[in-house]
Amino acid sequence: MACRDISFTVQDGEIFGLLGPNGAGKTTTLRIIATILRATTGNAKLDDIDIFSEPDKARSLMGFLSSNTGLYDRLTPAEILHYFGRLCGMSEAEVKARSLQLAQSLDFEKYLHARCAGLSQGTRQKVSIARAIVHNPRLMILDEPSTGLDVLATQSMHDFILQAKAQGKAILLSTHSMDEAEKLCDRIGVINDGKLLAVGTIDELKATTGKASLEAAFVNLVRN
Amino acid sequence: MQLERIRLIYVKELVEAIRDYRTVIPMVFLSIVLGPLLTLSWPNLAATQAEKIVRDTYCVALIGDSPLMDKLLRRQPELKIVDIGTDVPQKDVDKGVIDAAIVLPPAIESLLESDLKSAQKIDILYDGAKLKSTIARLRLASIVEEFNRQILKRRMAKLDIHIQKPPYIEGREAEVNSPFGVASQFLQFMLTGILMMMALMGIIYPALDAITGERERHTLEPLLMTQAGRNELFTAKLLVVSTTSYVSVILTMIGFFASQFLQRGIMPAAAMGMAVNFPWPCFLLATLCMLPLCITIAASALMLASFAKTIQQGQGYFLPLMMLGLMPLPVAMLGDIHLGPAIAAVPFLNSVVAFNDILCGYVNFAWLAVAFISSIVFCLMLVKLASPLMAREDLLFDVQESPERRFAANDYRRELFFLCTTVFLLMFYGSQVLVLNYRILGLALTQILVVLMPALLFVHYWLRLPLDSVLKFGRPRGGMASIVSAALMAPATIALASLFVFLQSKIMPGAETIGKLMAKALELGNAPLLVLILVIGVLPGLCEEVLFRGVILSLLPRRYSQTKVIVVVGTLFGAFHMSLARFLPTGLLGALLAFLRLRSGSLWPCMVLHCLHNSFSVVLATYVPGDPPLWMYVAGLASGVVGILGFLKATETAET
Repeated sequence: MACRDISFTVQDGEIFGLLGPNGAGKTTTLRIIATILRATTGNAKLDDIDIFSEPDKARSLMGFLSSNTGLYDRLTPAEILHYFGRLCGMSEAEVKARSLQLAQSLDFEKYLHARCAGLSQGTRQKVSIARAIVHNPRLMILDEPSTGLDVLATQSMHDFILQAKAQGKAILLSTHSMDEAEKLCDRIGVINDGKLLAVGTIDELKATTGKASLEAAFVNLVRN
Repeated sequence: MQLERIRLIYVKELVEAIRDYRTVIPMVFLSIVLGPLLTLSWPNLAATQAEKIVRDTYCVALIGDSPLMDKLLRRQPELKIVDIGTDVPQKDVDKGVIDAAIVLPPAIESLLESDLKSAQKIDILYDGAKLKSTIARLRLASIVEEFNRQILKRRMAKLDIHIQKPPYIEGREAEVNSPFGVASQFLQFMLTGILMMMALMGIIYPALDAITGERERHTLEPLLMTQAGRNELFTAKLLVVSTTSYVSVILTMIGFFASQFLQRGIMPAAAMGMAVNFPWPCFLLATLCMLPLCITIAASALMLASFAKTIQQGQGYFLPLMMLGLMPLPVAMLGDIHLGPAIAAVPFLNSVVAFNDILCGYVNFAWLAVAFISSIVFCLMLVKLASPLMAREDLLFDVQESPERRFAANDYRRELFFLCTTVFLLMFYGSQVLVLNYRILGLALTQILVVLMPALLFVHYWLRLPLDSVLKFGRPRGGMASIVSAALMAPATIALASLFVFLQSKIMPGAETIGKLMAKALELGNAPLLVLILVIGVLPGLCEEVLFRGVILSLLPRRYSQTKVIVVVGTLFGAFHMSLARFLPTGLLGALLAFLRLRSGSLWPCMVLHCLHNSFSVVLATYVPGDPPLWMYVAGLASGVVGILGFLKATETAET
């Protein structure tokens, strides 16, 4: 998907949602910000760091998670956290302490040394989250984080996101679910066909379109 | 690149590989077992077979009358003479009633004895498809030799010649003297092939898992978000795959090294050159020499895996790699080839030859060093090429573009590469066969089957693009005027081409002039001029234009400048004619045609010029044999100047 003229800011302690139909360009935008894809033009800044000219520096401050990211089946959660933590520049001692802390807070401590192949879907999701934030990033990029999860797993994913917000993290998430957007996002950017159509709080979007619900406002923006 | 990160990735990948039974079984189990299994079973099998051959009884028949031959045959206990009572013993041999037969001419013995100048022929009949029959033949051949000797003795006795002591020849074997020792024949024959197989087996799953698996599991995305660079990732993965490959090789070598002691214990006299003798310096050197091979194979495997979106697709890619990897084997094993400057520079082949050399005791450290360095350079090149592939969007995220969008972006270089390779190969093999067998019809078939059909099938069935959007059969810019101008250029292109070939023949000895080339083409059949014009003139003008100025030109990337398009199309068109002498003239014609197509936006002017160029050449060669007179050159060039000016004017007016 090609994206054009997309411009927005995300503050610390804020959840910014990219809302759009399938194929709108949400994932491409997130991948560009996450430095996985290269943009042909434009720039993005994390504090004062230009993510295109200093991608390494930027990466150390970002965590990326999508619903379909996998785990290494033949490794244990402890080994995975160690691997990603060390590759993100953490020391041996830091990784060890952080892994234990994450396993305790996300409640998978007893599986820390079991191979991932045998873990339940819920536990795998928790390990994925831990993997994405092992280096304690300031910006968390979540690409449709609850797609394909059951009600309970979705609930714990939402809890985790809100908890991260409470800790003052900046959160950029993409979703196509109105419920999720309404429940989590402070501000929303509506995206379609690679273009950002509107940015604002839910109330602002309703006001600009003159619609009573977010869903109606969204449909109005996308159709017009 | 940071070494610590490479170490981290290496350790993690290695742990994963070791925990994968698909890697461990071929890497460890198979490698260790192979040596003892082969070195103990083969000599046993061979000994059993040899014993069977010695003990077997062979049924043979003697057709013809000779008491001496009869006596010689009966002296051999392993031969059983069967009376088949027929004059057509071949049938009994075919049916297996007898294993072989000797057929003597009538009264051979008396003839040979009475007439000293007489020479007779003895036939041995056997069935080459049956091992037993082949062995019976060898035994009968030695009896025929003995028969000859006896007859000779009788003749010499008749002439009163006596030889006191028969002359005899003593053979001495020269052994290569190497400070590292020489591996026994059995190892020289088997080990290279087995190790190549093991090196290849050791890489398949680790390579696929390291690259394609990472993509399939969706773990590559978070990995690319860490501090690890793509080069670091690829280098570490290369080291892991090289390790698994090298471990397979080392374990296999250890298996063979150890089995020499095992074999000496179990079968002290391993028969028929099947003894395993592997001196330890030779073993160590050979082990070292396999390292560059393993790294080269690993790098190639990772490169291939980078192209695969799924593990299943990757497995499909590995079969050709296996075949390619095994190709140097016959070269290294069968020929008397040793490491030299040329071979040392070729990756794969240099390692195989070097390994074979070491087993045979030829050790040249200078060339070994060159082989090592060239392999490492090759690997570095592959790493450089393959590491950006890890980030390729379509592979990374499995993006499939729609045909319409790809046409809009207009980047079909990969597909064009396949089309050109196919057409060139068909041209090289198919066209030769067609023209040699069917002459003038073959030429026509070449144009239709080799040039036109692949181009149309490629666009319609593979790319699924509308044909008219690619071929551009619309009205040319400038209308009829541009077509007429193109026609006027034809005499000039012939004049220039023949001038070019003439000049070229002055520089390149052995190059043919255009007249000779045309005469050669005309020799193809004594066809009437009209048929020649149709087949050599019109048909290529239509078919080749569809392929080169139609399909290839339209599918080159849109971002290419006009000059680049003209150069590429011209070069391909020149190369297509598969003749060094014709490369430049046809290449230049191709470039001119590409220019016409780009400027007029239509294929018609190109077709007209191409058809007329070829047809005029045929007419000229028919009516003006040899070199044409000067006035023709001048007139041709003048017509060309008018043509090109007219064309530029016609297309210019249309533009404004």
